[in-house]
Amino acid sequence: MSALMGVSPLLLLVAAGLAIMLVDAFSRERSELAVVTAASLFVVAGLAGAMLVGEVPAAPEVVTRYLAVDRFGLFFDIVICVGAGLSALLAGGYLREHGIERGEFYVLIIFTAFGAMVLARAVDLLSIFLGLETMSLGAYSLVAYRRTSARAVEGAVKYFLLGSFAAAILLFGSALLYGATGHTDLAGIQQVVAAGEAHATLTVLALVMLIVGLAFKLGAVPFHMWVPDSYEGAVTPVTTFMSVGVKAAAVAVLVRVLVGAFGDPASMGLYTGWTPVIVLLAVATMVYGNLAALAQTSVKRMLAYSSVAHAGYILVGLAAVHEVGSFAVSSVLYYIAAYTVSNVLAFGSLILMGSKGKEAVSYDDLAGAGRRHPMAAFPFAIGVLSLLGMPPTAGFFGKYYVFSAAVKAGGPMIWVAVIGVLASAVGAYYYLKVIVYLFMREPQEDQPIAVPMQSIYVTVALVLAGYYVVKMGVTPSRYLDWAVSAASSLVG
Amino acid sequence: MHLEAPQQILLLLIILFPLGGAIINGLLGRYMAKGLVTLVGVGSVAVSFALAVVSFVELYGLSHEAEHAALAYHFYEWFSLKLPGGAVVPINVRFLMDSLSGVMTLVVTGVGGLIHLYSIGYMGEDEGYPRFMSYLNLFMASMLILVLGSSLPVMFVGWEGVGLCSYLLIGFWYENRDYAAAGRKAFVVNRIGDFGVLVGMFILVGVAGSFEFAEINAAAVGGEFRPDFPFPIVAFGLVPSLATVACVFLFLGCTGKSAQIPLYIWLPDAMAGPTPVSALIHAATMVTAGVYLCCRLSPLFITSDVAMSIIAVTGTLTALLAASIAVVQREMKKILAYSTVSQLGFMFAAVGVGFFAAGFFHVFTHAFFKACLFLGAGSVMHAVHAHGDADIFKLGGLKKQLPITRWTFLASCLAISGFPLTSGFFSKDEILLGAAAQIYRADDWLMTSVGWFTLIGLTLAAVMTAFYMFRLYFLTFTGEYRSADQSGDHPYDAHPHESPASMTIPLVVLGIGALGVGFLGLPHVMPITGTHLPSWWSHWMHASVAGQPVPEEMNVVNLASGLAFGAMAIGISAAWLLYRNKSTDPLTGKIPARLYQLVFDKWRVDELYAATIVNPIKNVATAAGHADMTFVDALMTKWPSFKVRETGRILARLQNGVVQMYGAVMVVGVVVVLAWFWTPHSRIEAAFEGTQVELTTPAGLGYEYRWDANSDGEFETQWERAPGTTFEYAHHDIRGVAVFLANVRSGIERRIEVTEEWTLLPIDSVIPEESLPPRAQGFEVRVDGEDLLFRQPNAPTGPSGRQELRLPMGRDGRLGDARVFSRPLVEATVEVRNAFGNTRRDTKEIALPFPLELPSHASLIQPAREVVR
Amino acid sequence: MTTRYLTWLLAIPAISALVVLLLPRGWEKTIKRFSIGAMLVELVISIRLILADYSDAGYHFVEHVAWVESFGISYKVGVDGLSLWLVILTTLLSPIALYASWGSITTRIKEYAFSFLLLELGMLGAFVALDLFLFYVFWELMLVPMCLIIGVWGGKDRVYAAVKFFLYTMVGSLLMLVAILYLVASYEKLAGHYSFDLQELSTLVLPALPQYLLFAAFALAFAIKVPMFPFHTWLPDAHVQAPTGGSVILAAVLLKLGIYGFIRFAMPLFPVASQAIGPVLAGLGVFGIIYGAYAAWVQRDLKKLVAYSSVSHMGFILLGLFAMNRNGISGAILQMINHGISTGALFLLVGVIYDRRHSRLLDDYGGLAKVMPWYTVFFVIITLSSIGLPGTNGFVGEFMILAGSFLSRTSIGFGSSWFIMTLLATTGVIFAAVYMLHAVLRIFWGKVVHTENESLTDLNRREVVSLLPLVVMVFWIGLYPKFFLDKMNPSVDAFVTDFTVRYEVGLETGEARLVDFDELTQRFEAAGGLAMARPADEEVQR
Repeated sequence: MSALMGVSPLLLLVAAGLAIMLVDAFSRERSELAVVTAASLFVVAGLAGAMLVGEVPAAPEVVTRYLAVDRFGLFFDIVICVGAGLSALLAGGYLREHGIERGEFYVLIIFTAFGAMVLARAVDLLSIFLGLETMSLGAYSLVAYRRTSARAVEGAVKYFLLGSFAAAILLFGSALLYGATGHTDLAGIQQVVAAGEAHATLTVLALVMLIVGLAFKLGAVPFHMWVPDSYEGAVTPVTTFMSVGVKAAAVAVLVRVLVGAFGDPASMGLYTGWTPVIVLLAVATMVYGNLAALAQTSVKRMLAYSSVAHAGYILVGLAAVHEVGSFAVSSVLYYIAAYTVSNVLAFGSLILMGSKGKEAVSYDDLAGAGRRHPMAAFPFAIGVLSLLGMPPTAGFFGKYYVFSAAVKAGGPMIWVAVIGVLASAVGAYYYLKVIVYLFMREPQEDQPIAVPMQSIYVTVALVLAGYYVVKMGVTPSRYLDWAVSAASSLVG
Repeated sequence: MHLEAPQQILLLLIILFPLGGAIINGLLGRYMAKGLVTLVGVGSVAVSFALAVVSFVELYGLSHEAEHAALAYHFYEWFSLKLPGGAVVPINVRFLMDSLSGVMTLVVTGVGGLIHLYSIGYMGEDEGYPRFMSYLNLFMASMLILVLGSSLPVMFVGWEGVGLCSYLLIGFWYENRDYAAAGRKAFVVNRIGDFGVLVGMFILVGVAGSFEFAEINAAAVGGEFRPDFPFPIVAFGLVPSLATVACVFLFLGCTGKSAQIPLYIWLPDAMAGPTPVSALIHAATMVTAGVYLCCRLSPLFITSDVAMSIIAVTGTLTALLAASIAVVQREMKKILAYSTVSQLGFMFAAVGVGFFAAGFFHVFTHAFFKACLFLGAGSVMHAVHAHGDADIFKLGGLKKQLPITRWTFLASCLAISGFPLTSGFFSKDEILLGAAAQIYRADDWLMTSVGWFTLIGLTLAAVMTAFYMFRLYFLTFTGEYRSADQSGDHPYDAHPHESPASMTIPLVVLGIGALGVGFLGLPHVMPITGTHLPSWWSHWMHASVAGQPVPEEMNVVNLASGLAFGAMAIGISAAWLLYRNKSTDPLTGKIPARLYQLVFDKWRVDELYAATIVNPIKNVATAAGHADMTFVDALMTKWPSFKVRETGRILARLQNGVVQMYGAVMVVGVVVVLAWFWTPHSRIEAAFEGTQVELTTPAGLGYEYRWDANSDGEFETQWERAPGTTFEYAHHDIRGVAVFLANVRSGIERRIEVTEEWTLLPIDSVIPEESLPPRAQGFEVRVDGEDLLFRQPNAPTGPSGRQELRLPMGRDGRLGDARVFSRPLVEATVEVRNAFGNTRRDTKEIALPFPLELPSHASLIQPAREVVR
Repeated sequence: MTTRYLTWLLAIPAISALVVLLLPRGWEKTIKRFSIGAMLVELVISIRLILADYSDAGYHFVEHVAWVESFGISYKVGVDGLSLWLVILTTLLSPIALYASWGSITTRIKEYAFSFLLLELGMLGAFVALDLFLFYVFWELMLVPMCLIIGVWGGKDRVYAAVKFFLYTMVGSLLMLVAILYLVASYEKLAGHYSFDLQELSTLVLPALPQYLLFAAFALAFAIKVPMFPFHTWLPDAHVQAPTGGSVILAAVLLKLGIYGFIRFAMPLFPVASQAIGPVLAGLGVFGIIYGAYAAWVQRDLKKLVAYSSVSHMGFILLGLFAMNRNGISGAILQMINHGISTGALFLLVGVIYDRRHSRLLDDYGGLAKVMPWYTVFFVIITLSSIGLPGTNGFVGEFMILAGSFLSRTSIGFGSSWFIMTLLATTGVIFAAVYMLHAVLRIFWGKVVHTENESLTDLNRREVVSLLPLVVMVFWIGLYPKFFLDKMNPSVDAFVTDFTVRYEVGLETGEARLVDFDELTQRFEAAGGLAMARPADEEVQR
């Protein structure tokens, strides 16, 4: 039994999911489900945390062959579970407010999170695909959760179509890689590739396809096209979860594949390996994401684009790996964590801003909220400031970290960092726009005013997220250490 | 020998009393009874006069013991400057009373006191009386600081302080916006002068290393102006000595404060202020500050003929110009104002010809008669209830109603015209003597011509002075009172009456002074008779004021006094003939109307300035104001932000919701990513191990490489996965030599082309030339066999001198701050083949960091391509 | 020394900001009293700082606590002669500005007090931070509250002004962040450990080329804040739109942070670059003097006029700064204080009539001297200080700056340019008189033309109380500046020698290297400077 300690978070989560299914099947009252879900997710996160800071239990080869049991994985367990848990809390408030609360939602959340965690731990092409599909299926159906809404369905369909396209590419890539190396496990692939015994052409093609497939999940330009529509179509709690949990898993697996399977100098090379491609994606993503977000009138859609932009910053960190190794990886980890809490805070506040009948979507819905409901507007301000990268918040420290990784890598990477900060300066405009509308604008007469909802769940979620946003900005040391140890478990 | 009595607290009190008065009246005046205000206002000045007398007596006593006697009071250190080289120059709030400042203090407090007294009657009814008193006291304080300050900055405090008071007092009746505008004009014009004073100060502290008058003068006399001081003007291409430059800038300040060309324009407008103000500030004291400053620094000024000539000419021109305008004006105070400007011109002319003492003597006498004249005018205006100014063609015959005013006015008119034995006679005589003396003394054309110009110009001015003064007198006091029948526009009060005692007493005192004080400064030599007279004044001033020697030659003396007397006689008699008992201006018919009008409009100088200076600047300012909000802002903020937002809108339009489109974009993405991997990439790097060269190019996934290290066409290595190889170059591999030029300051480094011909090192294109010391500039280089030859053809200085430097290949040379070195050049080629079988050939030149002897075929002349090192 | 004055100085506004946040918005009186009280306590503490002995150049009240150890980020604060008076300026102006605001700010008192306290925290932090990361945090922290103050309580176009202010400043400082990162990265390469500690970083000598780039990045951030022509266009908008209190703080303190950044960070860290580029900046400063004066002259909006006068004044300060001698730099620092006082007071005074007439247009006034005598007195006094009349503070600063630039020996190649620059700058003295007296003439002299002005009431108690301390300072600095200069001069002297030494070292080095302190200290003593404390001397408290 203790053999399974290593993957206990996963098992625990599955158990919780099944339990919730049963509860849902037999009980009438739904509201507790949110609490139960969130609670179980937090418990898993706690468990992972305990392992992360403590001893990582050994696990039998039969497990580790497919699912890594390492700090890296545990770190992502925490991020994903926290993200999912907070999203569940938000959902608890949101769905009830809008009277569309059904039990399966929470089950879906849990299993999607499960898929994400599997993906984050996957060290074998098979388990990668397995986790990816588990996650994706959950995600598809979550996006389509509000059946009645055409936009939701549309978003889901687009997501599904493009998603399967990407999945196909990924799968083909894996096949090629297996053909080229004769291995499905990343470690094995790594050896063959590093030794240069792999069939060169196939390997490169495989690499390209893997990058594309994962970049799609990450939502990196130009593979981001699904993001705005499905983010906007989905109910906000789902959007929240997608933008944190799913993204995190995508980041995790991208790092694992690129660093784990193609971590040798030749494959990473600044001019000859995958680094330039990542740089390309990073720059495109940062620039496009920020510029496009500038043009949005809907806050939700703006946040969707902003999450694209943030994928770009993450990629900057990843692109620095070839020079600074684990420093860069840890910067990516810290960034994703910081981004998770910040984004939950922002989306959560957006949810809080609206109530039944009038959901807060566009900037105008926020007009004057700062005066009418300061306590609801305040967290929103903190959230966007953190996304903007304003000290002393988690977001600032994350940005600082990835950019310092880039600068440390030196050479052309410095200019990538410069582009990054300029892009985020552009981003400052639309984040600031939220604050402007909250505190400096008054609603027009004719327009209906969005009344913030009263929900203990949402409040709790916001308080938690806000607390960590500030804490990770003011005293980042501990989380830094986690990120560092997690990264070093991957690259020496 | 010098004798200085330290810590004379009296000096401080002289200043503090009026200052205190100003503060009390300023803050509490409006809540105090009028009597109390008077007590504070006049009392404080009276006290400070008394204290001035006491300390002057003390000084007088001291002056018997030493040639240069002075009282001093060191208050505290204000702040300090640090000169290049580390010397710290303290700026002390220190007051000094020597023979010069002593007399000035007496004049300021004495005349000032009388005018305060006068103001009781003149301004007593005005609601702003406390304010007036406090301003007046503040002025006294500032003026005394100006006079007693022992260093330029402290003097400057008073200098601008009086400017401020003049601003406040001219605009005293602020409800009339024109008056306020006149005040502003005065302040701004004075500021232009102050600009000069500031610059002068900086030059002086730079060259003399001190702000103290005494030390500056000492340095000037001893020629101790620090030669090592890197004075920027030297780079200006101007010849003048530092003293000249400093003097000219200081004199600019004087022209502002003392209303000389070109900055005199504010003084006539300044008559908008109440009459006592005109008398005190714009006649007796403040406007003479410029002369005072020149006297203070006379040892400095006298060292520079150029500056002195400028001063003399400016003074003379001003005297002429102002006098000519005064001749045709209609208002009393305007005439007096221009007469003041003219008299100040006399004083500066005296300074300019090196008769500082004489100039200052004129300051002294002028203080009496001009103050008396203004107060007389005030008394007239008070009598006829004329507000602002009085048109003399509406007056006349007032000698009956205003006897006292009339007699004192007459006395002063005589004095200013230089009637024998009146004060003006002596002082003006001395000035003309100075001009004459210069002609006699001068040995170069400049001084001679200046002397002649001054003499003639001043004589003419003296004629006009006598003329317009008596024109004023006759039209005002003789003939019939033209407002009696209340005809004409805005006639004055039909029944004028003599002014109260508080106004007449000052008149009498000043009138007596105007007649009498001249005897203090008797000429050295009596005209005609040639008997020597004791001149107390010149003896007394000698202690603190430099100056040219007074001539003893009879012809000079006679010429001067003859001209003076003649001018007076002509002027007065002309006025007598034209204006005695007249009621209209006979001149109008006699001279062409256009000319008359032009002169009456003050030669339209104000309009000239407006057209040439003020309006252009104003236009520029308006342009700047507009450009800032439109052009600059648009360029720096609006345009970029607009562009960014526009781009965003365009990009967002990609997101058109059509899923096929999305797919297409993804495919494009895939293609792009693939395209990068499709082509191989290489960039040759070289590392040097002794003579071993390690060549590398970035390793790539599935790459293969083969090297042709010396680019001789055949590859040394076969296709290998290893990205690098090591190679040892033989001398026959060498293609030539690369010459590099580096700037050690900027670290910027570039390869240059050299030939057998001498070519200039392109330092300026590596980094702007001026950032290098001269010794690195103008180097020429040429190739000689395996070596580089350098020379610096036009460099007289510098360690390298003119001889040629030979730099063997592979060694570094340092030319000033430019590093030059040549390297043997080889060429390496690599061929890269990537996973898709695409190959790419890459060739780079490599400069070896070690010398290799050169093969015959390799030429040193190489195109400057980028190169690996 | 382990007296934690500086920590208190930072903690009090932070804590009281939170307290204000928690107080119910109903208790307006309490909030007002409390926030003012907190700021007064700050003032008292900051005055305690004066008592230290500044005759040596080093930092005082230094506190050094590791913050993020793995990155060498530490909470390191301290004051020296360069920053002391700016700290006090901040603590003096903040309560005054807030107190004055209570006259006009009637809505959302709570948020206003909160923003102000946060703002004070940011400004003080930036002045005392000796760790680049810490400095950056505070530097950015200031933006948000200021942006809110402009955007929430401002005038008609407040949103535009607020956003412009925020973004403009943000862009500059983000590039500075990258520069900081580069600096730290290259330090880590050599020293083997990260550090943002200014003193440690200043042992790093970079070759000229990177110095130019980094200096450019820093300079951009600071020049925008100053604001230096042509980066000044956010200022008029911000000033015109901001509420009185906001304008006061903006002009009095925020702008100073730009100059302070130059003195504290940009110049000592990149001497070679600042030596080469400094004169250019000084030239831009001179241009700004005249340009600002011209622009101010033709403004019809009083606040805009004062805003442009700030551009002009800051030009003087830049000139003095890059003269690179004691006169210039001490003068620049003193002039920062002076400008803070006089321009702060000017904005207060503008606020006074704005509250009464809700107009800032010169045309709407005239003849106020009749109806508001005391107001006139104050305005004229401050005007005189602003145009640098001897006896007021303005004169001393300008005099030292001009003397400094006149005596500057920094070689800038093209011959007599310092002399020419000084001449041009000195004409600024004339134009200052032109535009300020123009304003005075339009507002105060003449007859009362607008009937609605006849009923204007003179200054009330609040306004007098908030103005009086500034007038006192005007004359104190004007008459006895020695008191202030004596505290800063040693630091300035050390700064100059330090700069010259680093400059020499920087010239010699081909690639980045660390100079050890013994070497530096030796060269200091050779250059006649004071020895500086090595960072290892005071141990890190954990």
